[in-house]
Amino acid sequence: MYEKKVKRRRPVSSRNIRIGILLILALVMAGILIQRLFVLQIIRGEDYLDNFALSIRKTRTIPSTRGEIYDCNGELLAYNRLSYVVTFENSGSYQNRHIQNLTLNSILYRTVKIIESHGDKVYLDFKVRPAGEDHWEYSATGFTLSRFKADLFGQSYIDDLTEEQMNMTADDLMTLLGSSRYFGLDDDQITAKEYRDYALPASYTQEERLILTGLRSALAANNYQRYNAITVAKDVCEETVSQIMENTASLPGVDIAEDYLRVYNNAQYFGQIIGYTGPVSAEELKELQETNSAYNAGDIVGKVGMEQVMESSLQGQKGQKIIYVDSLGRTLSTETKVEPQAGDSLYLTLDTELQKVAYHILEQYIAGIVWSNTVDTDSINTEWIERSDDVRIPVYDVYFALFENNVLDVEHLSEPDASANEKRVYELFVQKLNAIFAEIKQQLTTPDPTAYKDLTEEFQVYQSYIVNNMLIESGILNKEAIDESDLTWIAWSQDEVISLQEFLTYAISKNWIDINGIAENTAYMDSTEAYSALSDYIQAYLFDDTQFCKKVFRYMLKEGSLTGTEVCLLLYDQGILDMNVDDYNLLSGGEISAYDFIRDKIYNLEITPGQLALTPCSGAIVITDPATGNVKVCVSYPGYDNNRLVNEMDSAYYNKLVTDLSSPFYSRATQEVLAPGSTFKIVAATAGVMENQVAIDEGIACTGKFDLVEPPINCWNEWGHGAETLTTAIRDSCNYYFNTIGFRLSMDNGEYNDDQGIAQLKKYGSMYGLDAKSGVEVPETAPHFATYAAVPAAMGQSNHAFTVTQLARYVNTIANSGNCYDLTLIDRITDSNGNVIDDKEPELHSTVDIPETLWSAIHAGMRAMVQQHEVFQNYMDVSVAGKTGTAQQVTTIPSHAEFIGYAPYENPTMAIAVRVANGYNSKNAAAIARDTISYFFGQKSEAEVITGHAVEVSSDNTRTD
Amino acid sequence: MFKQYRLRDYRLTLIIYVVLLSTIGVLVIGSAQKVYQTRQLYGLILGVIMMFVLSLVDYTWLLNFSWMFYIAGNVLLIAVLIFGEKINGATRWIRLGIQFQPSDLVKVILILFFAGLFSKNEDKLNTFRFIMLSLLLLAVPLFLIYREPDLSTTIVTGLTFCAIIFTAGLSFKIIGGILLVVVPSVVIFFSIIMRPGQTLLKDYQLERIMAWLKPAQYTDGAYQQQNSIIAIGSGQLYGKGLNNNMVSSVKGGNFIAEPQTDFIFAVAGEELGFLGCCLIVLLECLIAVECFRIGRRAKDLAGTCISCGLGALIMAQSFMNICVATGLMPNTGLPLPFISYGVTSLVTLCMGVGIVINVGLQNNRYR
Repeated sequence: MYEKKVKRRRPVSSRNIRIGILLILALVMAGILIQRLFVLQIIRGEDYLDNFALSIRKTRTIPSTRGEIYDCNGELLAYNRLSYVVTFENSGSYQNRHIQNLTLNSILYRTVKIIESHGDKVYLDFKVRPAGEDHWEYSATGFTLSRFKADLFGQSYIDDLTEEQMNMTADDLMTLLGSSRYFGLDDDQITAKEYRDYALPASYTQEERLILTGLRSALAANNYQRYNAITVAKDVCEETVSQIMENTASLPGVDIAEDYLRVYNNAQYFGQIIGYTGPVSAEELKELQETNSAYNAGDIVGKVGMEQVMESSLQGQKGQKIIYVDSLGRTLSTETKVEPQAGDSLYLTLDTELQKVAYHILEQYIAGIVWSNTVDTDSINTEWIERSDDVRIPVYDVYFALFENNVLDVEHLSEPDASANEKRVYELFVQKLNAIFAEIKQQLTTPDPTAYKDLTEEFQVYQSYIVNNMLIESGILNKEAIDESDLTWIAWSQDEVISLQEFLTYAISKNWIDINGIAENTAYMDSTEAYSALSDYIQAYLFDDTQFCKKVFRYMLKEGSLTGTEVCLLLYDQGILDMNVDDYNLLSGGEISAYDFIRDKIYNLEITPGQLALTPCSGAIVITDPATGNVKVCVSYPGYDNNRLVNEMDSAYYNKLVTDLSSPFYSRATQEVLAPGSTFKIVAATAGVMENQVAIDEGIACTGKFDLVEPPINCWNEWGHGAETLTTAIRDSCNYYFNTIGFRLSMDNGEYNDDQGIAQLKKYGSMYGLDAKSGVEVPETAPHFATYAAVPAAMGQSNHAFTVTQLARYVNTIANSGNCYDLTLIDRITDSNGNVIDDKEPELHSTVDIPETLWSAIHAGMRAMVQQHEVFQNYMDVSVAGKTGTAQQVTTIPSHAEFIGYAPYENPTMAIAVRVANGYNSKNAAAIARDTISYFFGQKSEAEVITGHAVEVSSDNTRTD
Repeated sequence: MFKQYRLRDYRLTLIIYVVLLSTIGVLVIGSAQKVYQTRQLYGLILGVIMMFVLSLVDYTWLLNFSWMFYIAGNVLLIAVLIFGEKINGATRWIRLGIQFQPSDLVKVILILFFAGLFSKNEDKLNTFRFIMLSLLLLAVPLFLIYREPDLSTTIVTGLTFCAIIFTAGLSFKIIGGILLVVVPSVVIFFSIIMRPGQTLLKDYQLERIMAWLKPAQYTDGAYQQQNSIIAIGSGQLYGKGLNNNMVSSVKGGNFIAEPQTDFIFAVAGEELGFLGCCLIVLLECLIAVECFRIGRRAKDLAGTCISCGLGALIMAQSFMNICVATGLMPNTGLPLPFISYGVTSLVTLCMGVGIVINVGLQNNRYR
């Protein structure tokens, strides 16, 4: 009791108060901390945990395996080949940059050595390339180069690059990247021991330097996404794979990944139909994402053909795996994995063997047409040619074609490793050029220049080229400024009565031409000096102009300053023909004439018509099944090898195809629309009978000239066929008969009404499917039905234009007597396990509802046509019915050769449409069809129809339809 | 030098707290960076030995050498600036056989030194001259530490000094006056450093402050702190467990640089959760409180100052460290007492505790 009182009364000392304050402060601090921890861990803990998981979770997609494409017999056309990719993932952590550089360089260097020792190539996406010893240059310009630098210097935007970085030369860049601040290729601090320990060479070769810098740059770009491995080499061989796998312990981070490469079998024959795949473009991506949001930039999608059309089926579904990464993006673990689903398989209706044989038959015949029609002359005076049947190919056009279609490499003539013959040709060429430029200079400076129309054709071509191509393209002549109604312009461009010099003088006075750019001090020059300067400028400009050089070669060949022999020898020099010393000597010794030589090479298909791109150079065959509309064959010549365009695109090959004058990308079967010629006559026959304008057995007397219209239309048989019924008119392809039908269809109460005639024809044309695309799944050009001139339209003239596939559907409808099916290339779609997803059923476009008697008359006519046709004489293989067509465009170029038919006549199991654009005469198409049909029915073996050389066709092109 | 002590006065609780806390430290370090665990364990053993030895040494006797300690401490600090090893841009370590951080030792030395100084001059404590003199004596080591540069240790040492002089009996009038000056100055200081082109602080110092104030703009500087908050937050109530190898571990993803030192609390928070964190905070607080209690019953002012100084040091440093780790303060580099990796820090703090125990052994029975 007492004690308590004392305690209570005892004065609290100052020290106790102060310590008490400290104590309270300590407790307050602890309280603050615990409160904070409570907020962080208990109240918001879950949010932190979730957010954190999000920031370290990366979703990585696993590409799906693209579906395969088969032919109707289950033979593979497109599939995926497993390939191995060497990858490198920088997953280590290093004490400092020095060690990091040594380690990474060492791993990459040793990996590259392994890869190269087995003949594989390192994959580099690096925009610098060697330019001579110890010098470098950029391999990109403009935006691409700026973007490359921005990536290299870690800038998101090009604008963030400093002036110095922007203007850095390739040499400086490589020095900088090699320094210890960057990749440490050149680092004084590396000791001899370190060089040994890290197995690095004391100095790198230029090639090694390029590879290491390129790979390190790729790695650096990945610095914060280290879970993305970089690609070191693609499609490496088994030996590389095994050696790298054996050395994984000493090459940490290096790994082998599997990748699938798209492979096309029999590519040449299916190129345009199958197409190819490639990285998705921005526009394609936008379009694809509208239907499937799973598409991402960098995905491989179909670019052309079936690959593109059936993209959604072939693509499959991507898989997904979730990975957790650390602060530098190194993979910590992989969580869930959704396996990718392989794309669906496509079974086409096409038959590989048939397609292949048809392609070769087509090539052999086109070569045969070129071979038969090539004549040993320098040029043909087109004024003498009255009919397109008489057009021939002068052999000098063949020589020139070798230059024009880039078979011969003009640039190689002046390269250091050019052969003696190449050098000689080049010397001749330079001589010729100098002569041309001297002449042009003379024309520009003489007081008495020659008017354009009085120039030789050769110089007219050169001067036109100078004005229309060179001066306008180089911006010296401003096309916009020219007043089209100016009299001097008209005198130059249309009347051709003034000279180039006069035109230029006028153009300068009118300020159409800016002469300032071409030389210094042009302002102080008199006109002679100015023209002299201009002609020098022209010379310098045109010397490297490939198009101009080609024109020069043309005239060199014409005038004989370059001989056919020299050109033919170039074929050996440049490796286009396999070297044959005997032939080479015979040719250079003059024992074989160049004419015989080149024809021999055409005959033996060593030089193909596709390479020459003369007329003709292309053709198409389509074979269908009358019962379903399934397309068994769809060939377009020339084809291309889509294997070289897929995976890593061979851009040189691509450019060659794009500039190839034979247009291999252009499908002659589905995209080229041309007049059908006499093959159209079945439509007119149907229309005439069904509209009661003609009776089946009514006789119409052909006089050889149908003169009820202006101008009168000649029948191909000028003396007239006499009386023709429907069947015989089809047999004889009598123009007069079908003109009459066209005329009668157009009669409206005794008045000629062209529109009515066209409408009547179109009504029946539509029943045969000629009003719509044929249904094939690849892109097809829409048909164009004639819009005027019903009388010629009735026999296939006027402005009809159809694809071969459209003609194929038409004849398919005739073959099955009235069921116009949509054509299809796809038989069925199955999933990757072979379960059918979509089994295509035949779809009717329309029916041709006509009496059986009319069908019989049409079939009989077509059968008779074949029976009496010269190419079917003594033909016993199978009973064929058909209709030929020779569609004439103008008299100066060969007509198109066409044939439609079906077999066997009694019970058709196939229908065929053949066309060779500018193929001279329908009998060529008929012969192609004949051989193809024989093979189709097994009557001739592959060896019998594919001889490996051109088919000798008759050069008598007198038309009979 | 040695006196006879009564065993019942020996503050075993304090030793238990220290050993318990340090053991947690060793475990957490082992989880953060395995390689440092063994050395920290040796540090702990050495620390406990030193603590025990010093607890038996009469602190009054030690105070005789306080000037010597003071001079030796400053020499060490100068030596660091001249011969020290530069790590991460700061010269804080010196190699004397082992790597050694003098500023840790100086903190304890200064507690002893000022405790001695104030107890001897208790009567002059509130004179202007004496205050100026003690500030000058403080300024020398503080400047040397500041030059390392180690702003945070400078601040903590300054705060400890404040606690000692406050305990020693600095007049409340003077304290009031100082507060009147200091509070507006701090406001002015912040308003100055917020302006562009200021020269008061070094760039890295400003950046840390700015990163704390505006984390969105100064993401690089705040990165470490943000990750620490995420780590602590994600620990929730029970934590993810020591040495876990969960994928969703902030520490495991290398999101905290050098987790064994200043941001050890992030690892502790993530792995031990709210319960573990509270235990650490409470233990740090209990150690400080125990020091204060010993100080209250010390036989003389020197003993009180030593105990309260050490308590204040431990509490201030813990508070600042955890505030940084939880984002309540700008990023400063301070170790968490007894937990963070750092043998010098651990051993010197143990020595300090040893001296405080000795103060407790010589307690004033009548108070």
